[in-house]
Amino acid sequence: MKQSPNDMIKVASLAKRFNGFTAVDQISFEVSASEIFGFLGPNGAGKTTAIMMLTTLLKASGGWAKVCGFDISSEMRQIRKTIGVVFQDHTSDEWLTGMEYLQLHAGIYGVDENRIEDILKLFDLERWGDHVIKEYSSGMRRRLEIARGLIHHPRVLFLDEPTLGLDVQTRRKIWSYIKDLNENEGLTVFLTTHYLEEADELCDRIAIIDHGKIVAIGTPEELKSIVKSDHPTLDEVFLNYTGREMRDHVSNSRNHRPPRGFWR
Amino acid sequence: MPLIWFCAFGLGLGSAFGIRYGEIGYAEFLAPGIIAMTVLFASTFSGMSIIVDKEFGILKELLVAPISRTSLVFGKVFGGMATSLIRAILITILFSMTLKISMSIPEYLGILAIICLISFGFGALAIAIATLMESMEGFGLIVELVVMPIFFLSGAFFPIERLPEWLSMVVALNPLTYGVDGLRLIMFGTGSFSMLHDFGMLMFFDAVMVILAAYLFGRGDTT
Ligand SMILES: Nc1ncnc2c1ncn2[C@@H]1O[C@H](COP(=O)(O)OP(=O)(O)O)[C@@H](O)[C@H]1O
Ligand SMILES: [Mg+2]
Repeated sequence: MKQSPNDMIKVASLAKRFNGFTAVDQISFEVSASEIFGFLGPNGAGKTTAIMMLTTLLKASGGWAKVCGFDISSEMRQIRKTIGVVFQDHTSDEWLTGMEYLQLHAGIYGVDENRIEDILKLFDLERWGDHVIKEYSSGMRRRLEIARGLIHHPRVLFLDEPTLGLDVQTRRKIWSYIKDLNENEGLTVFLTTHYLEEADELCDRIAIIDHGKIVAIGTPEELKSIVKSDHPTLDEVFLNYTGREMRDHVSNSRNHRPPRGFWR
Repeated sequence: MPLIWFCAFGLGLGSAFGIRYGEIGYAEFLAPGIIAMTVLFASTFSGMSIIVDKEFGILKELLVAPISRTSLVFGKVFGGMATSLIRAILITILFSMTLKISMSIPEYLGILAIICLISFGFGALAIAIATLMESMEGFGLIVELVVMPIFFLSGAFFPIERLPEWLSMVVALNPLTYGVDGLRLIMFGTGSFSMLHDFGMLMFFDAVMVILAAYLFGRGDTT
């Protein structure tokens, strides 16, 4: 397959099996530079597994993928230098202050200390730098982790369910940060979500993923136009593709939250 | 925990049967073994906890950063070494007071060195085992199948000279034997091997283990 120079991410037949169980089933797609691309799918669809492969944390069982032109199975180090990753569950150490947390990562990536001030300001956390993360709300902690993911000016930012469990106001605030970064700095964003309105609001293009397979891909408008209904909402599109039964299976994160009712 | 062991076996058994080992009583004989046990437990637990770290928290952030897997293994091993040192130093001080051992500064440093060598090797071994496991659930089993045998078959409890052939083979292959022996040499001047032999074996073990751990950790499913 040809790699167009504009593709920040290119994925071909990528698959992941866990002892016979197929978590990601031959997915293929491209993400071009400065695009916000979203994986939309219910719990257990394989979103986190896909992100773990693209960010070099899990070995693929089949297919291939390139991130920023580097192969995920052989050029891990180059990829790690050029991407930022924010995980589904909080990863920041509660006992560090926000400042110490960012200093640690600035050190790892060899980033100038001035960047810490800037990035704290960018996420409206400058007053909280000296507080331990334990004192942060969930939304502030998420903002800090996104700031951490951006500290080394990555070319692609991966966000795994960035607003999971946050209230509506905080969620909108986080959307606006992501949008601004995308518009002002041309940041490419790959995110996963099971919130339809998040995908609709934020993403230039969406892939709907279910049972490890991509069942539809396109702009939010394109996806809506597929469903024959007078006023199609993305909800209907989603239900159309993923069926209506409840998903109660446990996702791979050990401290996962109880399955969320996204079938509002 | 180590102190309970020490009281039960060292003081209990020792005085009940009047066991002695050359110049020293059984309590003295056992003391280095208890120090080694403390280090063994602290370092293996710390090494195995890398399973949990991988699932939560900062290790994930480090894994996705351009840092070599080997340096992460070293970081974890040194972390376990810090814990081991703190615990083992406390116990050593306690022993040297209760058993009235007087040691010079170089001797104390020698003890620290052996503690570090034991902790390094077994910490790395624990990481190697951890890379082959999915969750901490198997930890109890590993303790029973690996850690306890290492402890019991190390000359911590009994002199290794009077063992049946096959058992002394096993003991000689156990790296902890040399840690216990080295500690005993420094603390009481008696042991089964030379100091050079003890240090050499420990260093060899450490080198092999860290290479194994770095290899397995770098190769794992989580690359
Ligand atoms: N390490 C693993 N071992 C076995 N099964 C796993 C593992 N990780 C994930 N899975 C399974 O793969 C499927 C997809 O999980 P995941 O990628 O976490 O989904 P999502 O992030 O979309 O909720 C789930 O059924 C999950 O149970
Ligand atoms: Mg997930």
